[in-house]
Amino acid sequence: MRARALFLLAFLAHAAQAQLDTTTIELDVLRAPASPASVLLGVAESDIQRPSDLTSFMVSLRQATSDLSQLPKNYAIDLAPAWLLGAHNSAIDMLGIDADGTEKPVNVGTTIWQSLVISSAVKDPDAVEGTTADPSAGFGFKFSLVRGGVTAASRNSLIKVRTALRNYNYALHDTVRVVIADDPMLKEISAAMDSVKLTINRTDSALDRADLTENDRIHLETLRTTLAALKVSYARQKADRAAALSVPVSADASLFAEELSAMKMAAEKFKVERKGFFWDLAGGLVLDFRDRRLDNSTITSAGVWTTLSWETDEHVSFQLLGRYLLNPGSVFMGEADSLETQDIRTMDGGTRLTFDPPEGRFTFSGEALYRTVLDMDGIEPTWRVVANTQYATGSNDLLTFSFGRNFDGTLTKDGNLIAALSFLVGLGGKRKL
Amino acid sequence: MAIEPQSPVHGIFIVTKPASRVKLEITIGRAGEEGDTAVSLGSTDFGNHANTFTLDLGKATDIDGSLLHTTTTIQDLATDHNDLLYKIKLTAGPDTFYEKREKTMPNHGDGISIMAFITIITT
Repeated sequence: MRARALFLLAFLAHAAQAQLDTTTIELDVLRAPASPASVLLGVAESDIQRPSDLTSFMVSLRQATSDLSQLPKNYAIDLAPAWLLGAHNSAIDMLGIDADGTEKPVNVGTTIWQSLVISSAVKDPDAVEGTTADPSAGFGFKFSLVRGGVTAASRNSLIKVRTALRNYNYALHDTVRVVIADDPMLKEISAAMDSVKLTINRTDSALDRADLTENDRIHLETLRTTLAALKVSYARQKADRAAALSVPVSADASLFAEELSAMKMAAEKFKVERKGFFWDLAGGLVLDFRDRRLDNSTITSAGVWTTLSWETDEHVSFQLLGRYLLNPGSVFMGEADSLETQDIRTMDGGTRLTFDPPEGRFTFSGEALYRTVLDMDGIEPTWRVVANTQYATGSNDLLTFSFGRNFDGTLTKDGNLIAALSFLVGLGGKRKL
Repeated sequence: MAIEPQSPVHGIFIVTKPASRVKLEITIGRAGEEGDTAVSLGSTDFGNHANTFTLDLGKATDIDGSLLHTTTTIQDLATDHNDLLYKIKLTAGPDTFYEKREKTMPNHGDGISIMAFITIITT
């Protein structure tokens, strides 16, 4: 019985890739992962490709496939279709904020589309010397059903960015416009244009007169063609001359030093934060290709995650998390110390409450985790509850206190009570521990 | 932070259907950037417009010979890439004028400015 439980827990730890150490379990392992396929397949976060446009996607794909000549090995990629394909949409538009910073209502479909991430990963152990395991491929998705609202601070930050950008652009435009309006050559060209237009109008009027001879008509038609060509020529000169005048003015940054400084400050402070209710969903599965054949695949792992959370402006965050994992055909040590094979389904649930003001001395977090193995008699559900508090007694001193019930890997220490009081003193310069 | 001027867009837009309406479309990309465009046509000021937009400049015969002047500034605000894209398109009936500029910025927060000078004439 004990061996069976140990195998199961080790298996869960492997499947979740969450480093489920018995004493340092963190509830964040249940949070819907950003890249479900990579999590299920055990690909490092730093190895995941995240192309932001089609060009970089193709570059990534060609590198992974040796210019499309072979299947990729140990490759993971996350694709956000709304961002990949919506090159014309600015981030601000996709945030659902009007030009004046007010929030526009966003329906669920838009939220799902804009937050959708499709992840896929390929892992070929043969690429590592000395192994013969079958290659695996993972596919997953993640999206938000609800994603809170943009904070007032973020909206104000956006308004400042837009105002600074508009002021600079208007100053640049107006300066060039004045230069162009005062240029004598352009004035001459404009006068010529007006003259040409007048002549063409007179020609058109003349053509309408009934007493013109055929020769007169041919002559006027020739004149009109010539004038049209002149009109095109003048139009081009006008545009070319204006462009030439604009270059030195637009390149002179000293003319717009004040506006540029305002733009810099606004850009540095710009960030987007959301508060309120969030609901994320994610799912994924892993396929193993036996004997390295594409037509002989089997599902070795699948999972669904959900995260509901509420974050307030007072820096209080409450989360509810759930995870369902399916591992078909898992091999483990049975009751009679014999190897058994069975589909293992596990359900994890948890909740967390945190209070972490950026300027405050006191922080608190509490969390509870419940874990159960479905369809397996004799495996009791287990749970863990822990609360942590910290108080910054000085600029470089931290008093911490934790209290809770922990579950460990052996499942033998039920009701184990952990209490700890630590006082940390930092040496050296002042900094937050 | 710097705003780097790009080579201006300049030319003529010949409208073969004088009765058609001239429409200006400016596209800002890629996803995650912020743009602002000031538009004037001759002595008429069409104001500033944020990001991607479309504007009706009027009937071709009414604006014949006028110089369209636009100034667009795009600022790199996206954290995941620094690619800036600008497209300008004029349409009137079957006629189209189109140009684009692309630039990858070395520093986050930098930007580009592009001016367009296009004279509109009817034939």
